[in-house]
Amino acid sequence: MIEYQDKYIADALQLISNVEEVLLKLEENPMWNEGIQEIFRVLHTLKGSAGMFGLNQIESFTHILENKYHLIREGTEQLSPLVIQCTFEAMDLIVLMLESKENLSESKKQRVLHIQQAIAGLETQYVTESEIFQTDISHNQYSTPSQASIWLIRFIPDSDLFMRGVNPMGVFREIAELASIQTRVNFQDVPSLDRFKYNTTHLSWDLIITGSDISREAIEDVFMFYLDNEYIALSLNAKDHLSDLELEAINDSFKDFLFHPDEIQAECMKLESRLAAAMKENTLKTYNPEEPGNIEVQTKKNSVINVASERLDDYVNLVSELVILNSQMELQVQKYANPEMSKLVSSLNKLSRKFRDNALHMRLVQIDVLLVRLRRLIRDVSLKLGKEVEFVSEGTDTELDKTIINALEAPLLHILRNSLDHGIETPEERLRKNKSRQGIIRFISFYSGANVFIQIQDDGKGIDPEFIRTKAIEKGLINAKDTPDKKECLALIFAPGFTTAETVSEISGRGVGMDVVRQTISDLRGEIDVDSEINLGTSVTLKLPLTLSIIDTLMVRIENSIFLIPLSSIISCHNISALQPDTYRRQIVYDSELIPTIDLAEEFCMDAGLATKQKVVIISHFDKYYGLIVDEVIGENQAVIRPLSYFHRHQEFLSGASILGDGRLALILDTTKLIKRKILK
Amino acid sequence: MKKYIEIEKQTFLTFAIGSNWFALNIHKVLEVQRNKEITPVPSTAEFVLGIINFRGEILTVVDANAKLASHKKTEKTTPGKIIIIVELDINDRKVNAGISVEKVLKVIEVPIDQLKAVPEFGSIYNPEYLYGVFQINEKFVSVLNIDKIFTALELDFILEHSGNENE
Repeated sequence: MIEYQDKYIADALQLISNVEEVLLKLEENPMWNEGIQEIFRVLHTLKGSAGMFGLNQIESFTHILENKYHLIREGTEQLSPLVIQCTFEAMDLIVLMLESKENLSESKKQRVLHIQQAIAGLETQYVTESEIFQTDISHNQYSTPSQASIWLIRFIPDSDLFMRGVNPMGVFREIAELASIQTRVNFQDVPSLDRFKYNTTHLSWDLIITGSDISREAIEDVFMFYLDNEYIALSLNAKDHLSDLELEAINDSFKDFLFHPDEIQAECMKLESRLAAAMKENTLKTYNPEEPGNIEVQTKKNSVINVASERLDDYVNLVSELVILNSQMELQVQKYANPEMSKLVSSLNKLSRKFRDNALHMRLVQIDVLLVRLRRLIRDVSLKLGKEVEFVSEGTDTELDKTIINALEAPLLHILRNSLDHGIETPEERLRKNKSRQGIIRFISFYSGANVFIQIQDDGKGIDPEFIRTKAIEKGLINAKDTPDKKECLALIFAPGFTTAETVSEISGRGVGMDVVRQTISDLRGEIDVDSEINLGTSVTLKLPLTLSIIDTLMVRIENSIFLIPLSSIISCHNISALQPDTYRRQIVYDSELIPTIDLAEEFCMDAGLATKQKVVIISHFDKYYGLIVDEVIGENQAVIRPLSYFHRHQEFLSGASILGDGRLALILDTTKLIKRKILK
Repeated sequence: MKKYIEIEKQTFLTFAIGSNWFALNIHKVLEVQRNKEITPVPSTAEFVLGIINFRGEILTVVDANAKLASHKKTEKTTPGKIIIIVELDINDRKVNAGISVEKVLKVIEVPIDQLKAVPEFGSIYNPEYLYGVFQINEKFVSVLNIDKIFTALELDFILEHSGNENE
């Protein structure tokens, strides 16, 4: 059951993000019918499967919302902002509950209670209406039987019912809301115990439904999660086929149903055969073929396959292995100089490279998957702050590695929060400054070389470098005598512990903000930059690598081992003698400054003793320079990063290993951590 | 008709470290590789020889000599040229690793009733790391509990790394 539960949670989270997207659109256009339909459908799914996994709380309040949307769909009610707000909050609530599997902390429980009350508020409205609705039914059913409709439904769900995450109980519950219902369970398909499978259904049901004006659409709605072949619904229009007397007889037998099951069964059989004859004529009419529009939607959905990311990783690994094997083969073939063979190998080479590109592409995801979360945040926060903001996005089809996309969410949300809180002004303030009431936040992403750039711009009040400087002095981050230029001032917002907010607000200002953002981005091997003009706005630019698994490196030799240094951190390479080293070569002169060196062989305890190293690689770390002393600089190398084995996962200063063309392994240095480690020592 | 009582057999890969013989359940062994170049990893535990590329996965190779003979260093040994790739269960996850040994002997089937418990003490190896012993041609062969050995090794790895930080 646990595996299904995990799948349910994954599916539910996906559905919820769909709902949020639709809700945001509905907010602009509440009359958008398809949107309402979509929300109704999702709520229904959420409810059904939540009930099945025992998440009863979720089931109960999605039920209330579902009813609400049902009325809205029917046109009985309008979609009010209150309902939208409640739906948003309900989605939050479900996410909370799913993530904690209903083991909520106290503060979260409070929030849950609050939201539940708000949703329950909707129900009171609903109950009164539905009560009227229900009394209507009972009234019709007994006093004027000629208007009653009777449905016979044979419900034989496919055996994979539970795998699909639908709960057949939902059908009965929903029909019971529509009309009175009698059921008979068929046990004949239940196998003996040794062949019994816990995750398949063996039951089927016959249902007899009596109520007033039950349309085929209503029945189909109830069975919306079942395939056509899983249920047959036969309508018995009382007027056409039955006299009042007969109908009453049926009604009577229903009342005794529990006591005379055989009788009712016989009655049903009779009815069935009568109906079968009656239905033969209008079968075609009653079995509404699915609307062509629906079919189209179905096929479209099927064209996307969800693949577990580990499987994809395996695939990428295997393909990389293929590429390596191939280059080894190429080397061998060159030795034997067989022209036929080398032709074959070179085409194999092309093919396997294509394979690799293809495999890496599969991990790429369009950046717009992030946008729903961002829009939602802007909506919530601007409401809370009383600011008016328009969100514009460009280049949302830019693709990035799934891992990067996932890691980007938190930093992007933080940057947006800052823009909303500190950047965009209140409408009044904006009018005073001759700006439009509504602020604009732009999200722009585009490719450049092997990088993806993401820019978040706002047209708010901008960052005052002088203000930053004073704050930084206050916090002791810089010296009062320092006179940083504007760029340096702006960079201070990334310093740990820097916050400009006077009071800690809910939105931002905990002082753990931008330095964490910068850390996350640099962990992704990306860069972050900020630019701002007072009263014109601020722009934050992220520069990110396309994928995490390929990195441009410089290949160097230390003793007998090959190491790879990420090219992004390298400034230049030199002969050490040209940089005026001191006697122990602990320091060298670079750019007319004295900079420290790290003798890698010594650092890694590999040195034979004599310092014969000839080359120094200058790297930069937070705008400071360091020299790495190596034996030999071999050349550039595009490396596919492999994680070090499980046992080395605590390893610092190595970000992984890469398999070289000749099959040897090379270790990839993490220069940032290497220098941190050196400084700590 | 004669009635058989079939005795369940287990299959082991046997190998030698110095004059001692060891066995691994064949289910734990993925492959035996010879003369593979091991890439050393700086600043790591001394029993770690380095890493190798095994079907695109980077594996740690541990010197079996150093670890298995470590409780009492009775004999001097050198790291072997042969790497046995094993599949481990460590804290409920599957992890592959390599152990380097001097000599791989053969694959043998042993009826389980011939598998004897390890003496509580007196062995140079920690009895916790052994499933049991069996005899072939008067030679005792220790069956290794490789999962347990590596789970214990993992602690050494962590200590090694945190030790570096405190230096």
